[in-house]
Amino acid sequence: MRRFIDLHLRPRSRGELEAMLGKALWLGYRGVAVAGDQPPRNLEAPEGLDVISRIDLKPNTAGALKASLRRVRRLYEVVAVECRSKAVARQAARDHRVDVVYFPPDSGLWFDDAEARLAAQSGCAYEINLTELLSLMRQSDARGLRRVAEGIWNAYRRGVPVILSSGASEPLEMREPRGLASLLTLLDIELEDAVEMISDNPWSIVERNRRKLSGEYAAPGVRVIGQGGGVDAR
Amino acid sequence: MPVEALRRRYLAFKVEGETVKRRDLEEAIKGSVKRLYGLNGLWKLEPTLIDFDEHHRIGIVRCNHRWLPWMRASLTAITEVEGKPIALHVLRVSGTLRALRRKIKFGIKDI
Repeated sequence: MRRFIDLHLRPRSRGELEAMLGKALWLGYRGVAVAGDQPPRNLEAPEGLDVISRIDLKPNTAGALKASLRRVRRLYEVVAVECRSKAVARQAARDHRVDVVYFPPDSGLWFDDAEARLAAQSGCAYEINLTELLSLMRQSDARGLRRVAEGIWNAYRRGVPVILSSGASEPLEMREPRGLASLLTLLDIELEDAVEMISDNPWSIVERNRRKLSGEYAAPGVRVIGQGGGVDAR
Repeated sequence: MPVEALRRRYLAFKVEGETVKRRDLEEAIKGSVKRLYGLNGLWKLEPTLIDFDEHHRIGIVRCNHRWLPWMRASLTAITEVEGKPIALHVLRVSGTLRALRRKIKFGIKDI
Protein backbone atom coordinates (compact mmCIF):
# COMPACT_ATOMS: atom_id res chain seq x y z
CA MET A 1 0.00 0.00 0.00
CA ARG A 2 1.22 3.48 -0.89
CA ARG A 3 2.36 5.81 1.86
CA PHE A 4 1.37 9.28 0.77
CA ILE A 5 3.08 12.40 2.00
CA ASP A 6 2.29 16.08 1.56
CA LEU A 7 5.69 17.73 1.69
CA HIS A 8 4.45 21.31 1.76
CA LEU A 9 1.94 22.69 4.25
CA ARG A 10 2.30 26.35 5.15
CA PRO A 11 -0.25 27.10 7.90
CA ARG A 12 -0.63 30.70 9.03
CA SER A 13 -1.43 29.89 12.67
CA ARG A 14 -1.12 27.13 15.23
CA GLY A 15 -4.89 26.51 15.14
CA GLU A 16 -4.85 26.06 11.38
CA LEU A 17 -1.87 23.73 11.67
CA GLU A 18 -3.72 21.44 14.07
CA ALA A 19 -6.79 21.40 11.81
CA MET A 20 -4.60 20.61 8.80
CA LEU A 21 -2.87 17.72 10.55
CA GLY A 22 -6.21 16.10 11.39
CA LYS A 23 -7.41 16.60 7.87
CA ALA A 24 -4.22 15.20 6.34
CA LEU A 25 -4.77 11.96 8.22
CA TRP A 26 -8.41 11.83 7.12
CA LEU A 27 -7.39 12.36 3.49
CA GLY A 28 -5.06 9.36 3.67
CA TYR A 29 -1.64 10.94 4.15
CA ARG A 30 0.92 9.22 6.39
CA GLY A 31 3.26 12.20 6.54
CA VAL A 32 3.22 15.97 6.20
CA ALA A 33 6.00 18.54 6.14
CA VAL A 34 5.16 21.78 7.88
CA ALA A 35 6.99 24.85 6.65
CA GLY A 36 7.80 27.49 9.23
CA ASP A 37 10.45 29.77 10.65
CA GLN A 38 10.64 27.54 13.72
CA PRO A 39 10.56 23.73 13.75
CA PRO A 40 7.14 22.71 15.21
CA ARG A 41 7.63 22.05 18.92
CA ASN A 42 5.30 20.50 21.52
CA LEU A 43 3.00 19.52 18.72
CA GLU A 44 0.54 16.72 19.34
CA ALA A 45 0.43 15.05 15.94
CA PRO A 46 -2.44 12.63 15.36
CA GLU A 47 -1.43 8.99 15.71
CA GLY A 48 -0.33 7.53 12.41
CA LEU A 49 0.83 10.84 10.97
CA ASP A 50 4.51 11.67 10.65
CA VAL A 51 5.18 15.41 11.01
CA ILE A 52 8.32 16.61 9.28
CA SER A 53 10.02 19.98 9.81
CA ARG A 54 10.67 22.08 6.74
CA ILE A 55 11.91 25.57 5.98
CA ASP A 56 11.25 27.61 2.85
CA LEU A 57 14.18 29.89 2.12
CA LYS A 58 13.40 32.94 -0.01
CA PRO A 59 16.79 34.56 -0.66
CA ASN A 60 17.33 37.44 -3.07
CA THR A 61 20.91 36.52 -3.96
CA ALA A 62 23.05 33.40 -4.22
CA GLY A 63 25.23 34.70 -1.36
CA ALA A 64 22.22 35.14 0.91
CA LEU A 65 21.17 31.57 0.10
CA LYS A 66 24.56 30.17 1.11
CA ALA A 67 24.50 32.11 4.39
CA SER A 68 20.99 30.86 5.19
CA LEU A 69 21.93 27.28 4.40
CA ARG A 70 24.86 27.38 6.82
CA ARG A 71 22.48 28.53 9.54
CA VAL A 72 19.49 26.18 9.03
CA ARG A 73 20.68 22.95 7.41
CA ARG A 74 21.04 20.99 10.62
CA LEU A 75 17.82 22.33 12.18
CA TYR A 76 15.29 21.10 9.59
CA GLU A 77 14.55 17.78 7.96
CA VAL A 78 13.68 19.39 4.63
CA VAL A 79 15.22 22.57 3.22
CA ALA A 80 13.39 24.12 0.26
CA VAL A 81 14.28 27.18 -1.79
CA GLU A 82 11.79 29.48 -3.48
CA CYS A 83 13.52 30.61 -6.68
CA ARG A 84 12.77 34.18 -7.72
CA SER A 85 15.91 34.79 -9.74
CA LYS A 86 18.05 32.69 -12.07
CA ALA A 87 21.15 33.20 -9.88
CA VAL A 88 19.35 31.79 -6.83
CA ALA A 89 17.85 28.92 -8.86
CA ARG A 90 21.27 27.89 -10.20
CA GLN A 91 22.92 28.08 -6.78
CA ALA A 92 20.06 26.14 -5.16
CA ALA A 93 20.19 23.42 -7.82
CA ARG A 94 23.95 23.09 -7.42
CA ASP A 95 24.10 23.06 -3.60
CA HIS A 96 23.84 19.59 -2.02
CA ARG A 97 22.37 21.13 1.18
CA VAL A 98 19.18 22.02 -0.71
CA ASP A 99 16.53 19.29 -0.89
CA VAL A 100 13.82 20.95 -2.95
CA VAL A 101 13.49 23.89 -5.34
CA TYR A 102 10.22 25.43 -6.46
CA PHE A 103 9.28 28.32 -8.73
CA PRO A 104 6.33 30.61 -7.90
CA PRO A 105 4.30 31.27 -11.07
CA ASP A 106 4.58 35.07 -10.69
CA SER A 107 8.39 34.83 -10.89
CA GLY A 108 8.15 34.01 -14.61
CA LEU A 109 10.90 31.41 -14.14
CA TRP A 110 10.87 27.67 -14.65
CA PHE A 111 13.10 24.67 -13.96
CA ASP A 112 15.31 24.81 -17.05
CA ASP A 113 17.67 22.22 -18.46
CA ALA A 114 20.81 23.75 -16.89
CA GLU A 115 19.23 23.63 -13.42
CA ALA A 116 18.01 20.08 -14.05
CA ARG A 117 21.58 19.00 -14.87
CA LEU A 118 22.93 20.63 -11.69
CA ALA A 119 20.12 19.20 -9.57
CA ALA A 120 20.74 15.70 -10.90
CA GLN A 121 24.31 15.91 -9.58
CA SER A 122 23.48 17.44 -6.20
CA GLY A 123 20.41 15.28 -5.41
CA CYS A 124 17.96 18.20 -5.31
CA ALA A 125 14.30 17.67 -6.28
CA TYR A 126 11.87 19.84 -8.23
CA GLU A 127 8.56 20.62 -6.51
CA ILE A 128 5.16 21.55 -7.92
CA ASN A 129 2.55 23.06 -5.59
CA LEU A 130 -1.14 22.32 -6.13
CA THR A 131 -2.28 25.80 -5.05
CA GLU A 132 -0.14 27.36 -7.76
CA LEU A 133 -1.20 24.79 -10.35
CA LEU A 134 -4.87 25.40 -9.56
CA SER A 135 -4.44 29.13 -9.86
CA LEU A 136 -2.86 28.67 -13.32
CA MET A 137 -5.77 26.44 -14.33
CA ARG A 138 -8.36 28.89 -13.01
CA GLN A 139 -6.83 31.70 -15.04
CA SER A 140 -6.31 29.40 -18.07
CA ASP A 141 -2.72 30.64 -18.02
CA ALA A 142 -1.33 28.61 -20.93
CA ARG A 143 2.17 30.05 -20.61
CA GLY A 144 2.32 29.28 -16.88
CA LEU A 145 1.12 25.70 -17.42
CA ARG A 146 3.65 25.30 -20.20
CA ARG A 147 6.43 26.38 -17.80
CA VAL A 148 5.38 23.77 -15.24
CA ALA A 149 5.18 21.04 -17.91
CA GLU A 150 8.63 22.00 -19.27
CA GLY A 151 10.05 21.87 -15.76
CA ILE A 152 8.74 18.33 -15.35
CA TRP A 153 10.09 17.24 -18.76
CA ASN A 154 13.53 18.69 -17.93
CA ALA A 155 13.51 16.89 -14.59
CA TYR A 156 12.55 13.59 -16.26
CA ARG A 157 15.22 13.94 -18.92
CA ARG A 158 17.96 14.46 -16.33
CA GLY A 159 16.66 12.00 -13.74
CA VAL A 160 15.71 14.62 -11.14
CA PRO A 161 12.94 13.50 -8.75
CA VAL A 162 9.73 15.52 -9.02
CA ILE A 163 7.58 16.17 -5.95
CA LEU A 164 3.92 17.07 -5.93
CA SER A 165 2.69 18.90 -2.84
CA SER A 166 -0.40 20.83 -1.89
CA GLY A 167 1.32 24.05 -0.78
CA ALA A 168 -1.83 24.60 1.29
CA SER A 169 -2.04 27.46 3.77
CA GLU A 170 -5.53 26.52 5.01
CA PRO A 171 -7.46 23.23 5.30
CA LEU A 172 -9.73 24.03 2.34
CA GLU A 173 -6.73 24.05 0.01
CA MET A 174 -5.80 20.47 0.84
CA ARG A 175 -6.80 17.65 -1.52
CA GLU A 176 -6.81 13.86 -1.39
CA PRO A 177 -3.56 12.35 -2.77
CA ARG A 178 -4.97 10.47 -5.76
CA GLY A 179 -6.95 13.52 -6.86
CA LEU A 180 -3.77 15.54 -6.65
CA ALA A 181 -1.94 12.99 -8.79
CA SER A 182 -4.80 12.87 -11.33
CA LEU A 183 -4.42 16.60 -11.94
CA LEU A 184 -1.00 16.02 -13.46
CA THR A 185 -2.48 13.86 -16.21
CA LEU A 186 -3.54 17.22 -17.63
CA LEU A 187 0.15 17.90 -18.28
CA ASP A 188 0.59 14.50 -20.03
CA ILE A 189 2.15 12.85 -16.99
CA GLU A 190 1.36 9.15 -16.52
CA LEU A 191 -0.83 8.55 -13.47
CA GLU A 192 1.61 6.06 -11.95
CA ASP A 193 4.48 8.58 -12.24
CA ALA A 194 2.30 11.25 -10.64
CA VAL A 195 1.48 8.91 -7.74
CA GLU A 196 5.23 8.39 -7.15
CA MET A 197 5.65 12.16 -6.95
CA ILE A 198 3.44 12.22 -3.88
CA SER A 199 4.66 9.02 -2.22
CA ASP A 200 8.05 7.43 -2.97
CA ASN A 201 9.93 10.53 -4.16
CA PRO A 202 9.26 12.71 -1.10
CA TRP A 203 9.71 9.83 1.36
CA SER A 204 13.16 9.08 -0.04
CA ILE A 205 14.21 12.68 0.68
CA VAL A 206 12.86 12.56 4.22
CA GLU A 207 14.47 9.20 4.97
CA ARG A 208 17.81 10.30 3.53
CA ASN A 209 17.83 13.46 5.63
CA ARG A 210 16.77 11.67 8.80
CA ARG A 211 19.71 9.31 8.38
CA LYS A 212 22.01 12.31 7.94
CA LEU A 213 20.63 14.12 10.98
CA SER A 214 20.68 11.01 13.19
CA GLY A 215 24.39 11.29 13.90
CA GLU A 216 25.26 8.05 12.08
CA TYR A 217 26.17 9.97 8.95
CA ALA A 218 29.83 10.89 8.51
CA ALA A 219 30.22 11.67 4.79
CA PRO A 220 28.62 10.50 1.53
CA GLY A 221 28.95 6.71 1.59
CA VAL A 222 30.37 6.63 5.16
CA ARG A 223 28.23 5.72 8.16
CA VAL A 224 29.13 5.35 11.84
CA ILE A 225 28.15 1.82 12.86
CA GLY A 226 29.56 1.83 16.38
CA GLN A 227 31.84 3.66 18.79
CA GLY A 228 34.47 2.64 21.33
CA GLY A 229 35.80 -0.85 21.89
CA GLY A 230 38.71 -0.23 19.54
CA VAL A 231 40.02 -2.44 16.83
CA ASP A 232 42.45 -5.21 17.42
CA ALA A 233 45.57 -3.87 15.69
CA ARG A 234 47.61 -7.06 15.70
CA MET B 1 -15.98 -2.88 -36.33
CA PRO B 2 -15.30 -4.01 -32.72
CA VAL B 3 -17.28 -2.08 -30.17
CA GLU B 4 -16.01 -1.69 -26.63
CA ALA B 5 -18.63 -2.28 -23.96
CA LEU B 6 -19.44 0.88 -22.08
CA ARG B 7 -18.37 0.55 -18.47
CA ARG B 8 -19.09 3.05 -15.75
CA ARG B 9 -17.36 4.18 -12.62
CA TYR B 10 -19.18 5.71 -9.68
CA LEU B 11 -17.34 8.12 -7.42
CA ALA B 12 -18.56 9.12 -3.98
CA PHE B 13 -17.28 12.49 -2.90
CA LYS B 14 -17.55 14.80 0.08
CA VAL B 15 -18.11 18.54 -0.25
CA GLU B 16 -16.15 20.68 2.18
CA GLY B 17 -16.72 24.38 2.74
CA GLU B 18 -19.93 26.33 2.33
CA THR B 19 -23.38 24.94 1.60
CA VAL B 20 -24.10 24.32 -2.08
CA LYS B 21 -27.21 23.41 -4.00
CA ARG B 22 -27.41 20.30 -6.14
CA ARG B 23 -27.97 22.19 -9.38
CA ASP B 24 -25.01 24.51 -8.77
CA LEU B 25 -22.79 21.58 -7.92
CA GLU B 26 -23.79 19.75 -11.09
CA GLU B 27 -22.96 22.83 -13.15
CA ALA B 28 -19.62 23.23 -11.36
CA ILE B 29 -18.65 19.61 -12.10
CA LYS B 30 -19.51 19.87 -15.78
CA GLY B 31 -17.85 23.29 -15.95
CA SER B 32 -14.67 21.92 -14.44
CA VAL B 33 -14.54 19.01 -16.93
CA LYS B 34 -15.12 21.41 -19.81
CA ARG B 35 -12.49 23.88 -18.57
CA LEU B 36 -9.81 21.19 -18.18
CA TYR B 37 -10.59 18.86 -21.08
CA GLY B 38 -12.93 20.77 -23.37
CA LEU B 39 -16.00 19.45 -25.15
CA ASN B 40 -14.00 16.42 -26.17
CA GLY B 41 -13.54 15.55 -22.50
CA LEU B 42 -17.16 16.30 -21.70
CA TRP B 43 -18.58 13.72 -24.10
CA LYS B 44 -15.90 11.15 -23.23
CA LEU B 45 -16.46 11.47 -19.49
CA GLU B 46 -20.18 12.07 -19.63
CA PRO B 47 -20.23 13.24 -15.99
CA THR B 48 -23.60 12.79 -14.30
CA LEU B 49 -24.43 13.73 -10.75
CA ILE B 50 -26.45 10.72 -9.58
CA ASP B 51 -27.11 11.75 -6.02
CA PHE B 52 -26.32 14.53 -3.59
CA ASP B 53 -27.14 14.37 0.10
CA GLU B 54 -27.17 17.97 1.29
CA HIS B 55 -27.27 16.93 4.94
CA HIS B 56 -24.15 14.73 4.90
CA ARG B 57 -22.71 16.74 1.98
CA ILE B 58 -21.91 13.54 0.11
CA GLY B 59 -22.53 13.10 -3.59
CA ILE B 60 -22.17 10.40 -6.22
CA VAL B 61 -21.01 11.16 -9.74
CA ARG B 62 -20.87 8.74 -12.67
CA CYS B 63 -18.34 8.71 -15.49
CA ASN B 64 -16.96 6.39 -18.14
CA HIS B 65 -14.38 4.03 -16.64
CA ARG B 66 -11.55 4.80 -19.10
CA TRP B 67 -11.50 8.42 -18.05
CA LEU B 68 -11.59 8.00 -14.30
CA PRO B 69 -8.37 10.01 -13.70
CA TRP B 70 -9.89 12.87 -15.70
CA MET B 71 -12.98 12.77 -13.52
CA ARG B 72 -10.89 12.81 -10.34
CA ALA B 73 -8.83 15.69 -11.68
CA SER B 74 -11.96 17.66 -12.56
CA LEU B 75 -13.38 17.18 -9.06
CA THR B 76 -10.05 18.13 -7.48
CA ALA B 77 -9.83 21.30 -9.57
CA ILE B 78 -13.12 22.70 -8.24
CA THR B 79 -12.34 25.49 -5.79
CA GLU B 80 -15.62 27.41 -5.75
CA VAL B 81 -19.29 27.13 -6.59
CA GLU B 82 -21.26 30.33 -7.23
CA GLY B 83 -18.43 32.31 -5.62
CA LYS B 84 -18.42 30.19 -2.45
CA PRO B 85 -15.09 28.50 -1.67
CA ILE B 86 -15.38 24.71 -1.51
CA ALA B 87 -13.29 21.57 -1.95
CA LEU B 88 -14.34 18.14 -3.19
CA HIS B 89 -12.69 14.96 -1.93
CA VAL B 90 -13.25 11.56 -3.52
CA LEU B 91 -14.11 9.04 -0.81
CA ARG B 92 -14.65 5.84 -2.75
CA VAL B 93 -14.77 4.58 -6.33
CA SER B 94 -16.78 1.58 -7.45
CA GLY B 95 -18.01 -0.16 -10.58
CA THR B 96 -21.57 -0.44 -9.34
CA LEU B 97 -23.84 1.98 -7.59
CA ARG B 98 -25.02 -0.64 -5.12
CA ALA B 99 -21.49 -1.50 -3.96
CA LEU B 100 -20.62 2.17 -3.64
CA ARG B 101 -23.70 2.91 -1.55
CA ARG B 102 -22.88 -0.03 0.70
CA LYS B 103 -19.28 1.17 1.18
CA ILE B 104 -20.36 4.70 2.02
CA LYS B 105 -23.03 3.48 4.41
CA PHE B 106 -20.45 1.53 6.44
CA GLY B 107 -17.89 4.30 6.34
CA ILE B 108 -20.17 7.26 6.96
CA LYS B 109 -19.31 7.64 10.65
CA ASP B 110 -15.66 8.26 9.74
CA ILE B 111 -16.52 10.92 7.18
